Amino acid sequence: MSSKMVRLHQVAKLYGPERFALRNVSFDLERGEFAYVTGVNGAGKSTLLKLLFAMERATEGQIVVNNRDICALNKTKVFQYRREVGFVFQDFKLLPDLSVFDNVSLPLEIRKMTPSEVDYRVRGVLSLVGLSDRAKDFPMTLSGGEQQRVAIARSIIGKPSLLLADEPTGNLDTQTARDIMQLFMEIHDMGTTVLIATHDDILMKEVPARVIELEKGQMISDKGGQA
Amino acid sequence: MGYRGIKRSFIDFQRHPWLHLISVVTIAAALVILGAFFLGYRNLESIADKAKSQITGTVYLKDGLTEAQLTPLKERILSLGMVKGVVFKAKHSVMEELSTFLGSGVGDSLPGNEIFPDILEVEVRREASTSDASDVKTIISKMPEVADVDFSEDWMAQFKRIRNMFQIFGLCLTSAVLIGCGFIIANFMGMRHQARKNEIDIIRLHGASQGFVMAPFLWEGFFEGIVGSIIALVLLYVGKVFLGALVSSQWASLLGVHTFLYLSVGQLFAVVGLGIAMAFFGSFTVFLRFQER
Repeated sequence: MSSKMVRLHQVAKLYGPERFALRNVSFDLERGEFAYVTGVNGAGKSTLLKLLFAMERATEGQIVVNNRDICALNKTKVFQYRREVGFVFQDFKLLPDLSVFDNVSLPLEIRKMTPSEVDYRVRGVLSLVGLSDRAKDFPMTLSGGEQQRVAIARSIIGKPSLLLADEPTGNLDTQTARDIMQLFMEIHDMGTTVLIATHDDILMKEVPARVIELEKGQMISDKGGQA
Repeated sequence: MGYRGIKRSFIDFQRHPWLHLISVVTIAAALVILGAFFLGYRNLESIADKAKSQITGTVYLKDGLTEAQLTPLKERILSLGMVKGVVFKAKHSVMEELSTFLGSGVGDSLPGNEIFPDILEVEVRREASTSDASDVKTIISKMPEVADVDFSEDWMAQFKRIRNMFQIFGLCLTSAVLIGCGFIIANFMGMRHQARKNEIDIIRLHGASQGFVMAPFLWEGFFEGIVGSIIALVLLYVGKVFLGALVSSQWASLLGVHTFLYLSVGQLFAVVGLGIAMAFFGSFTVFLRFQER
């Protein structure tokens, strides 16, 4: 098995003639690595994460995740692939009609796990994100930080080998953002490869790691960190 | 598709009760129309079966026939191979029968006996075909004592034509109602799907297959089909009881039927099956419309 978790080679994404969202992007992520993708709005951060999550297909180039060429996946394989990768959204994407427990257990329901297994794993992951006492509550009754914790809990409950996060602290105050970043570090410490898209320089300084910088869809720098 | 799909479909029944109710009512209404057609068809068949086994004819006699002319006439008719029996009815007894059938109030207002001739009622053997009955009719009509002949085989042929038309009409109606209601249901399901689009997108992002996404819709369609068809069957039964009361009074002797039949077992299954099929059709069109590209 390759030590590379993610490998991008000459990846480009066009949304129309001459409308490049990404152009010639190439980089690797080692297994268990922690990295940021940064850049101003419109730099291509979210597009890159969408390509990695198979929400969109690259126009050119090759993307290999966990030894799998995700550009070649058919629809069924995409469903299976998404079960192996966690994704944290800036807007949380929680289901308002479901309780915290049911939101977090959703990926396990999709995997058709038994109720006892679901219960065991949900309680474990809620404990990790510090929301054990909010299991029966609904998202609308939670603060922004708590909602993001629920979203993170849901993204890691399937024990993904790769966790992607698109501006996970974008809607949060500074202290809550720090707490969330701390949570990402804990998840990383458990062996998960983490790639976070952000333009928050302060946070990147507080939790130093490799930074891949994009500008107008092109990679302009790749600086190593300490994580 | 299993219990998780059922569980999620029940959650949606609680979330969007009105949209589900409209779907159920649409299915029930469509099935009442179809079931009414089935009821009509079954009872027409029953009348046809009854009439087929009892071909009778009325021989209208010329005025002023004597008993001496009447007896040989009856014997000549009876000697025809397919005739089982001949009964003479004088004009006054015809009048009395009509008064009884129409009720005393109406009967009193009828003109006198002079409008009715004496008649012979001819009963054809059960094994006789309609062409045998036609032959008998032709022979009798040529007899000099006979003014006119009216056999039920004419009516049978007419009835057969009506029944065939009814069958074609029913087929067209069934197809139209099925397709129309299927689309109506599809639209309501589409509305429910739209209301849950966000949820479905999120579920898909967590690796749900098309089957997982659509399972609750298919279960909802199944349950709506069952409930809608049960409602329709109950309404049809009420209609059957009402029509049965009507038939068992005055129309019974005219149509030769004494009970208004409910749907046969096969038709019951057909109604339930069509209800489920309509709902599934609705689910499936939603499935195609919202399939992830």
